[in-house]
Amino acid sequence: MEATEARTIRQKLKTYITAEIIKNAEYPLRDDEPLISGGLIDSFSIAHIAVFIETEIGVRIPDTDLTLDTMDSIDRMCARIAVAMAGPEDRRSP
Amino acid sequence: MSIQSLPFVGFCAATLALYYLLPRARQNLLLLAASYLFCISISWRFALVLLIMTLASYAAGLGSAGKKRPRLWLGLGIGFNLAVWLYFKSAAFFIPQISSWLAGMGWDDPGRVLGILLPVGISFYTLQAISYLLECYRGQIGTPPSLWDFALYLAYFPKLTAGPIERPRDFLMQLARPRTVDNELLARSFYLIVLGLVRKIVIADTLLAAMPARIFIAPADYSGIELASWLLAYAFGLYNNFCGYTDIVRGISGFFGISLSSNFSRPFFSRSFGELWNRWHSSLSHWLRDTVYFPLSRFLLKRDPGMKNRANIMLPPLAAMLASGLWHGLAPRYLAWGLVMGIYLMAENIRSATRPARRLDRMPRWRQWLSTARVMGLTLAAFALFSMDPPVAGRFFLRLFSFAGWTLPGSRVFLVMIPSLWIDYVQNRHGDDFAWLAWSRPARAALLSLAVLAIFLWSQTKVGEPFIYQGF
Amino acid sequence: MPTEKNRTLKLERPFGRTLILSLAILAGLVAAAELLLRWEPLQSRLPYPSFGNNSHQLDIKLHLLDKMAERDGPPDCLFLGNSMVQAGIDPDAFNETYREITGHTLRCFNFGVLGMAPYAGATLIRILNRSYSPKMVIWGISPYDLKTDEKNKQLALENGNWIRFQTGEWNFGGWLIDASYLTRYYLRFRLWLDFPRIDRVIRASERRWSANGFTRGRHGSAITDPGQREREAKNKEAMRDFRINQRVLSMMHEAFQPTPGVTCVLVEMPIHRNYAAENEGGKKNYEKLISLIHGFAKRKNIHFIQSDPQNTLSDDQWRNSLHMNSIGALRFSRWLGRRVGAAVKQGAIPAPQRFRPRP
Repeated sequence: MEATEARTIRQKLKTYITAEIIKNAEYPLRDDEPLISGGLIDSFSIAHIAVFIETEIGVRIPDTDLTLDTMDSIDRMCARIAVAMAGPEDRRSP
Repeated sequence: MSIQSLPFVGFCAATLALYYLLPRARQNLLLLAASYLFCISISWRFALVLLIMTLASYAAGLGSAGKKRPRLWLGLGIGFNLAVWLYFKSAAFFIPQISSWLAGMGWDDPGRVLGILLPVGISFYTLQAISYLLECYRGQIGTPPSLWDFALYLAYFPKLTAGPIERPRDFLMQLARPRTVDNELLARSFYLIVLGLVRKIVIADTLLAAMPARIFIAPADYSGIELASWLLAYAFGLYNNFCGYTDIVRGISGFFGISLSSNFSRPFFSRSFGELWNRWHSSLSHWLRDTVYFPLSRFLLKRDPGMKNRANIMLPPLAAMLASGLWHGLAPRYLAWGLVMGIYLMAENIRSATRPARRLDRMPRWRQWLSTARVMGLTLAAFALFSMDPPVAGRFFLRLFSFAGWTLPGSRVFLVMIPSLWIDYVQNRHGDDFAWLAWSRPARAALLSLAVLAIFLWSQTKVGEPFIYQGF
Repeated sequence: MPTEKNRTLKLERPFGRTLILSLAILAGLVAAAELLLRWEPLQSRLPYPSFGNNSHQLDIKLHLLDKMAERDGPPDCLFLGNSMVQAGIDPDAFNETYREITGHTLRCFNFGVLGMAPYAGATLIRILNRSYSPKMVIWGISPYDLKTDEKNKQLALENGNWIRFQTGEWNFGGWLIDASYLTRYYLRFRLWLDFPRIDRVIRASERRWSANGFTRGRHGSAITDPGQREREAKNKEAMRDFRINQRVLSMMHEAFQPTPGVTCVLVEMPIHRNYAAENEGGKKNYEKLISLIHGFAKRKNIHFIQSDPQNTLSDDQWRNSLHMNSIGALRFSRWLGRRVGAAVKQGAIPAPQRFRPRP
């Protein structure tokens, strides 16, 4: 994934999360801020973020990967998206 | 054999000794043989059920990962697992009732004829088999494991009877890799076992054995304070029983170089129900989240991605928690519990959908404690539903909230909740289960000697309560 | 065998230092606790320890007997039986008249325990004889013992780890209780933790026990107190029909084994005439039971002393129809001391071998 694309994805994600999930567009969201462990987002929000990533960025992160390890910060989300874009995705959902 | 018995200690020691002596290629087979031996020691019939489900799930997994009609194989595999599980679960629920009806009509010992026992661990390995099938279908497994490794995934004896429910990919990767047990892993494993024994023997057994026999049968016989106190004691007893079990099996598994998930993470410190379900029996809640909540939520959000999608606010939490209730049992009380827990989560979804999010860890300390108290109080109310049939639960709450009587419980066993709280507090401050390993050597040694002395003395008294989650 | 490279277990030295240190600390802790808990000044400040039996009174008596033996040597004479013995035999009063007749002192201990069934008592005699080698055991039995089915108490006494250990069934728990004061005080701690109400009752009663196992200070009489008539009437009703419990009798036969060198005397513990003589049927059965006890004593070759409560005790010397009060106990014990002393002097009872000279 190219650097420009990565930056775009990161920005899209941050915009979505601050506007729709945190509901405060001015929120100073850091890239390494603990979102799940800090209590900022929960499963309800994670599902929204996953669908956003799937529909707006075009990457499906499997349900089993929507965990603390992959979704706890913007950095981790972007890293997981990059992995998905680099290799074969979760090919099917039931 | 119970994991708290001397035969089990001997069994583990013998298996471990052989395990360290065998070459890497044979270790998984040894563990598989030991696991089936363990299962047979409980009942050969249970081992047979496990074997059949293993073979069926493995075949279905190959089919789900293949190119020819994978969806059919997936459906067959999940259907078969659920059918077998439901058969035994409903038998365990209905047969005692049919038995007593038949006995009332004059049948001689109908229970013996009708008796179908719930195979040990079936509720746990069924979920694991289903996870495996889904991951096969999604291509997440990669190269299919050998039949032996898959069989070991389901039968692995430390987690056979009551979990944790392990993710197939992670566990199978561990089985495929060489394993090393070094000083640190040995220390951590030993530490977990000691901690687990303290929780189970010193705390849980004491609390649960002291509970009045009729507290959840005839609540009207007790004052409101007694009901509240014993409900709290039950919650602590259940928590320490299950958490203690998990710590012990994690420790045992650590000696083999295999890491098992932590099922509990200081749940009584939860500030929201979302957090609670990441801290209480998390292997089950993660399974429900991955298999019920997220798929349903994705499906609903793809039709309407808005935050105020009502169906998405309500259905996934209700479905997940009702499924959890059903998993625990077919009795109405488990469904009532699941419904109430689902409603709690739904309420939090409404909040998330309509109000700005906030960092729980940045709230003022007093607000965090208030949130914790709220979650704890509501969870205890749900515990009451879990423990009693709905009509009795109704009488329980009426008695509780009528503030009838001021009799205090005539027991000091509540004092053992203090060590439980202290353990959780220290772990919470440190951020993980291994807080005490950071202490100085003399302090660690002193604490270990006190723990061992307490375990030894406590085990000299009454017979211990069985591990509660073995019954599911 | 795995090669060095493939080995699973890869331990590096030093290894196990924390474990070794903790074992050393544990050994030190246990040793210190065992020493401290045997120290009299500390023991006097703590509740009595437990032997893990279901009868806390039994545990108290075992402890007091232990202390007596430590302090002054094992007792010369033990009184055994249920609460009727506990309330009715004052060791000091017994010794007073016994010494007057025989010229010898008998250091006695009252081992009467509430609810002790006669066959449980027989088991306890074996245990205490082995541990303390008394020269005389005076076993108090009444027809009341042969009427009640003591099944549950029997189980409670014999299933305890310590009792099983003492009767030859070695078990780790029983050995631990026998050897370790830490274990005994831990068991007592569990009573405090699990059953605070019972703990409070026991602690209140603990202060009443003398070093010789007797409890003084039982005053009053339900026989003469009009306020207790109703309760006494209920007790009388329960005791009206003396039916023989063959099971109890046969268990007594089985359990009792005379110990060589220990003189055993069976004494009928008196019951107030309210019980015995209420109707012709009751009186006849009472006499039948007495003759059964007499027969048992004959078969076991032990001396039997029949009591004579109508002549010995007046109504105001009974706490209730089954138990004497302190005045009654004083009187009965002196009477018993005279009877036993006379029997020893006449040779009807073998003289106890170990004596204390008259001061």
